Amino acid sequence: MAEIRLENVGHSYDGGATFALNPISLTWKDGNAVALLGPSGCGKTTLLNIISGLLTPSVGRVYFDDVDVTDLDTAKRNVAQVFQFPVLYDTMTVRENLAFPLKNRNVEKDAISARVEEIAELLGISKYLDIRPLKLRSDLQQLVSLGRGLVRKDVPAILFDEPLTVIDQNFKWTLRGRLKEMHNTTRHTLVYVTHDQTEALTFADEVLVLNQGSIVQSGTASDLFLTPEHEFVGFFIGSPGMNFLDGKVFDGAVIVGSTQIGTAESKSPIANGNIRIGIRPEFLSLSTSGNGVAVKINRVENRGGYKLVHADAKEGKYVAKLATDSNITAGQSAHLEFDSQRTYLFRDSKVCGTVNTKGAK
Amino acid sequence: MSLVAKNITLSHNGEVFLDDVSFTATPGITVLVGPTLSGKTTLMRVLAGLIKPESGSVTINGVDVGPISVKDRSVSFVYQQFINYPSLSVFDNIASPLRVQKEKLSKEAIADRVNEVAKMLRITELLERKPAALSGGQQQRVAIARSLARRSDIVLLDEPLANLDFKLREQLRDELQRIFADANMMVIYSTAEPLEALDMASHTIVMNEGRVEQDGEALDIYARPKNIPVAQAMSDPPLNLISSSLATANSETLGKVLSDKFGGAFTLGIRPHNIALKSQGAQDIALSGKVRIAEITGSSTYVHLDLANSEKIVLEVDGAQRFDVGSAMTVYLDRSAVYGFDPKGGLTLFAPAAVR
Repeated sequence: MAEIRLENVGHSYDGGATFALNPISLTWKDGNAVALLGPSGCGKTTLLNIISGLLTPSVGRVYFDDVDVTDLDTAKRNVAQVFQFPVLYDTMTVRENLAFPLKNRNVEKDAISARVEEIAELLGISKYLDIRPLKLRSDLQQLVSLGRGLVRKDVPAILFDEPLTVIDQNFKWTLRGRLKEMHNTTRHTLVYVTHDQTEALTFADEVLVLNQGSIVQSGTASDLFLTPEHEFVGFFIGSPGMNFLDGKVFDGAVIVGSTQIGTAESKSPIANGNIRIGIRPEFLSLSTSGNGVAVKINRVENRGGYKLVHADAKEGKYVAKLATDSNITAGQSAHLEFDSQRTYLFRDSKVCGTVNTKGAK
Repeated sequence: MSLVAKNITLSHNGEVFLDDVSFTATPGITVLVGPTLSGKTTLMRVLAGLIKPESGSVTINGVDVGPISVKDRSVSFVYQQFINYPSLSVFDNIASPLRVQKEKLSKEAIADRVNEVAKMLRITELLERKPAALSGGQQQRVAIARSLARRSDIVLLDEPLANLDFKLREQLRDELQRIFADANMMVIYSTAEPLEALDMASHTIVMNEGRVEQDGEALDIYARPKNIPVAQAMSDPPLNLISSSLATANSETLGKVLSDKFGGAFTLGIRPHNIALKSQGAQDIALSGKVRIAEITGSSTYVHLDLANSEKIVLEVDGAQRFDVGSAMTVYLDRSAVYGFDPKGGLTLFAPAAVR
């Protein structure tokens, strides 16, 4: 396993006119699980391909444990990869497929069969070992692909490119758990590309959120959820994402429409002018005291575990996530309270403070 | 306007793809939900007339469409993999079915239709572009616009959002609901995702192994599934299933209720969000286990526990919380949220009184 370090790495597919990945520098600790999360076209696959060696970056250097691997191809970098769709040899059994990467590296026979059994057990595919992969359902085939990616212990990193795409929702839960369990014991360095926030957040020690070729924030699941540094993180993380309202800051007062919703709190004072206010649906609550923003409930969706409440206010629309037993119906008037700690101010898309809503009228 | 499928059966080389499928759709959205290979796509292909069933009938607006070919049925199909003509502009892509249909339309009428659906799907500014210059989400909007332009009685959408990003799905799902709410057509919408079915909150048909397992309103099915496969098709994260002996060992009340009512063992089902770290009352069922892993999503944490007899359970707790792997803990199952299933066959014996 290795530490992966990028020094000013960027890539342009059109000779420098535009960058699919803007130059970045970063270090991933040995043994960490890292997820690259973002919408299609954000640069996450470009970044993965630069690490695997499928792509030579236009600028910058890539290091594995201080060895410059920028000019080495994938085979020489020795990384293991798992792709979106199963890639298997159908002339071999599942057992032979799993053994293949080890056989190629001249691992001795007994060690191979022990390791193959171990991986098959972990992924729950032991009973398919002597079958040809094409006889299996596509999600089971993908499990064999995963197994092939995981079978070698001596790789500097294992790279996953949306590996759970073909897996059914219910089984994803089992499989994600097994991958995490495996990582807890083996501490491989893992890099995992996905557009699915649940996969990224639950799997990784560190999640990099990418948008338009740049990393907008990196951190743990809680960092991204509780303290978004960028509007895009507020929008992209969470389901549904953050509520945003347009407002103004004037001498420390945060004003939406003609209502002051609170006072701005920040390390450095916020200049007067336009501002965006962001609050997650989870941090809005129904007021019992009549404090907070007056709203009219537009629609209530019961999702089983919670209620999603769509509310209209003078200054904009809100979506709130409330408990299933909340007594609320469409058409009703209510007041929504903001969690003071979790109401953020954004300017030029970047966070610049919070709103203290205590005592606001 | 109605669509009636009656006793549709289809098998090939001894493998059953559709097993006596019957249902009725009316204007609005009908959601087909079920895992991969449950028969959703095959059923849609039968409805469209792309394959003939071995037995059974499809009746559209009172007419048996068995003898009517694909192109003469008033049906549009949208596939999971967005399909557009690469050499045609977005405008011409949407207009293409209008130009080949029997009923001839004037140039102006075609342009009006295209502009109308383009506006609905918010792709007006893309009309002059070629599909290759569009993102996946935009391409799927074009495919959906094309299916709407025909004003067919029936629109079949086969997992239309499956190939899109998670966030795009969220947005497009909301929009589709709005669009179809206003359109006078029957929309059959298939998905493998429980949350998508719940989100659509409409007439829902749960499929499993080629059969219709349950037919009703999404939330009703969620609350009162007929059996374990239905409960799982409507649960994300999956419903926990454990043996009742494990639960009754720690709960005299439950043990008594059960022996009185069912006279024996059953499979206990509970959703992860109905299990807590603290007891909410004497009615709770306490279970002890060891932490296998904890998954933090930011808004909540999923804790996977190993229980006795190598049984497992997952609970969802609020916020980001740290748990040490291997540490022992006791969790509390909300009695009012517990399901009971027959251990043989998986039929539901009892379900919570309210949606939990």
